Amino acid sequence: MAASKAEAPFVFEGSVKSLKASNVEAVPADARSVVVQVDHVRHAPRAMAGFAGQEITVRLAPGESLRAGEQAVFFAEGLVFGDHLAVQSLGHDPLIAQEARAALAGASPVVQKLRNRIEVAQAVVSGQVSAVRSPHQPAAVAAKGRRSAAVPEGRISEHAPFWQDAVISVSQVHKGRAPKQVVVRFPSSTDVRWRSAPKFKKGQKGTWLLHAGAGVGAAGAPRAAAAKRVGAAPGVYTALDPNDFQPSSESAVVKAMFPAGAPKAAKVSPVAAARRRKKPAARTRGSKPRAKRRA
Amino acid sequence: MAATLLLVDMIPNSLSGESEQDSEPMLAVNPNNPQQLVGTAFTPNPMGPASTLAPVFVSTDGGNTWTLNAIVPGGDITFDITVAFGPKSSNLYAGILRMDGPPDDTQLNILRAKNFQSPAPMQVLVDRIGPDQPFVQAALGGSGAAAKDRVYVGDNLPQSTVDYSLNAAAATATSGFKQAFVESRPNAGQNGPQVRTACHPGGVTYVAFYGWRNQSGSWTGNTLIVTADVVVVRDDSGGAGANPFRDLVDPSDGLPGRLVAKGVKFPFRRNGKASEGQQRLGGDLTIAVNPLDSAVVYLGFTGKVGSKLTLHVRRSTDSGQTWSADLLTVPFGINPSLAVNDLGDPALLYQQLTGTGASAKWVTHFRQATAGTPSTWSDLVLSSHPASKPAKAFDPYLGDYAYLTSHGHGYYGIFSASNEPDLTHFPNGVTYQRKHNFTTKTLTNLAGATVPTSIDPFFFKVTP
Repeated sequence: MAASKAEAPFVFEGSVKSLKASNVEAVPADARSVVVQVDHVRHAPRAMAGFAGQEITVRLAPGESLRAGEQAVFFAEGLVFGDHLAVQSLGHDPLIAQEARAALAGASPVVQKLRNRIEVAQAVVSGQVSAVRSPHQPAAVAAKGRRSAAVPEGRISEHAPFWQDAVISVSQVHKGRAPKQVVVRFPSSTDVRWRSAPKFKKGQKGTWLLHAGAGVGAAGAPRAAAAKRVGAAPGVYTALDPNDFQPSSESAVVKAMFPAGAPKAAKVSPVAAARRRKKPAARTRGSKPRAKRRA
Repeated sequence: MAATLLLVDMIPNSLSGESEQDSEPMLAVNPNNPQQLVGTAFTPNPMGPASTLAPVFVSTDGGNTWTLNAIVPGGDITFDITVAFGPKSSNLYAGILRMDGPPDDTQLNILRAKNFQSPAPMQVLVDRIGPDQPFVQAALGGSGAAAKDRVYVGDNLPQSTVDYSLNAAAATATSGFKQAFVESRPNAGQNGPQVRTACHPGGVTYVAFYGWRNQSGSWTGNTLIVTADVVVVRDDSGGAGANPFRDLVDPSDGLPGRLVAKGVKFPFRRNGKASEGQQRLGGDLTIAVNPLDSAVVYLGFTGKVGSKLTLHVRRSTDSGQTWSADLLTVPFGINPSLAVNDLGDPALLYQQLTGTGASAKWVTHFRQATAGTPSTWSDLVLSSHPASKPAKAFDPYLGDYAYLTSHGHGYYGIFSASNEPDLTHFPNGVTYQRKHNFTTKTLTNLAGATVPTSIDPFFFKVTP
């Protein structure tokens, strides 16, 4: 459930048509319900497109009040989807002039969700998928091919993720530290469970929000335990939320998220740097190959 | 007198803009008030993926109209959900797999709502890692004031299991449900996800499951073939005793669980294939008991006959000890669901792939027999649409199950199918709540913009 106006999935400009009213049977008309005409939809999930001109029922937030005829920007989430729509208000703002709206664009829920994911990401990088491969298998699993036909290939579940590793050649680091190659473990399964998780192909370009381990939702005991198993290997990340991958066509969005300075080129990890210090001839990103020393 | 049919696309008018793949449906009918119905499917919260509650479909007018009520915890959608009403309390019970569970495992919740129309989230009664495909049934335990809600949840991984409570209305998050493992024989490491229960009002409870015995082919390569026994166990007191679900033994080995069909083979797919109507195959089971006589039980399962996947329907009239030959076989019939009404007459819902290539169709049938002539089945086509349209968004295309139940003489069911508003797809009629045009065969949102066709859940009621 959305906790604040900034997280509201349905944002619209509306006009209050009736106080203490409802056009949805399951929502009783009382002091907390009003019927509002949707004048303009600012933000809505795809399924909610086309509500402009419709009258909907709004259940007011605690302490919220409206006047008949008042125009406002409503921040809401779904309540009842029937012949008509009822929403739960998370609050409203006064309707302001068109020219001032642009200033609010950066606070839209879509942008806010992306910001939230960036906030919790260990690193944000742009680059290209150079390879997709199976994760390294433990010896016991790798030996399954030698088992008898009656012994299963591990636990078989239609919800299995079928993890794959996408190797990302990093061209820019927007947040955190990242080596020139990172591995993103992703589910290749087409099962409903993984319908929203980004899936990657060789050659794909874009920006990845990298998360250590795996967590589909907020942290919890089971997820924490699972994170020890999935993507827990050093240098292996996950990007399971739809916001965690922005294709190159959305590069403007990524740039807008990091306005403070130009992205940095990928850095060599401390471990790799130490190795390279021992190998003076090694080439670093952006440097030209050194000429071979003559003996 | 001919049967009457009510068939309704369950997507409400206010969601005319939705184009989700609402597959794998389930239905609950309140036995205390059959005007009250709850349906489920892979329907996400329309407010988007940040939502923490998934919706159920609610009807309070016998299925004529439907609304969505988001009360299921665990994310904006579940990846398995079934529901049942408690016959004593009218509570709504659900078995789900939470979307916010651990990525490398499944997380089962058994849930309860004391008022299914309230926006309050359902209460978690069981929270367990590992099971798959929880399938809920409810029954009345006892009579009069002492009667209780009995709730049975068949699930699997790695063992065929029934989670059950003999007083689910009083169950808490820490107590009230028990687990019974119903497989008595060695298996091929695990059994299939389908564990189905059937409850007689007198307490006799049947459970059907596939006992996996062997595998060939490759799971990851999408060529796995499972060889299984179709097993039925029974408990004459609904699991109230010390050794639940051990009242029916097989004469061949004396172990609990009658082996109704041995060595049944079926594909267990990782992905649905175009040649199989985009549907992910993996076996099908259904079981139903005659409410007039607990000894009469019907069973449906799929298995290959030669190279053809085939649905079989059989009957036992002696509490599962002996079984008939096939009462009905259906080539490429999947998602079967059996129900028996209060006249003792069985009915069957299934979805059949017919034709090949571009002419392939998914045809959803409702068929009914009588207790006296169980080999003669009437046939009512509910839906028939091209198997290639719409293209699947994920697996499973239609779902791993559909559902049929009964109340009184009537049968209530739910299935998922293409929502293309083409009346030739619904030869016995249909009602849409969402914006549609049967002439132009188009869907629109509330503003009149065209909406692509997708898979919707359809409710139906057949009154014989």
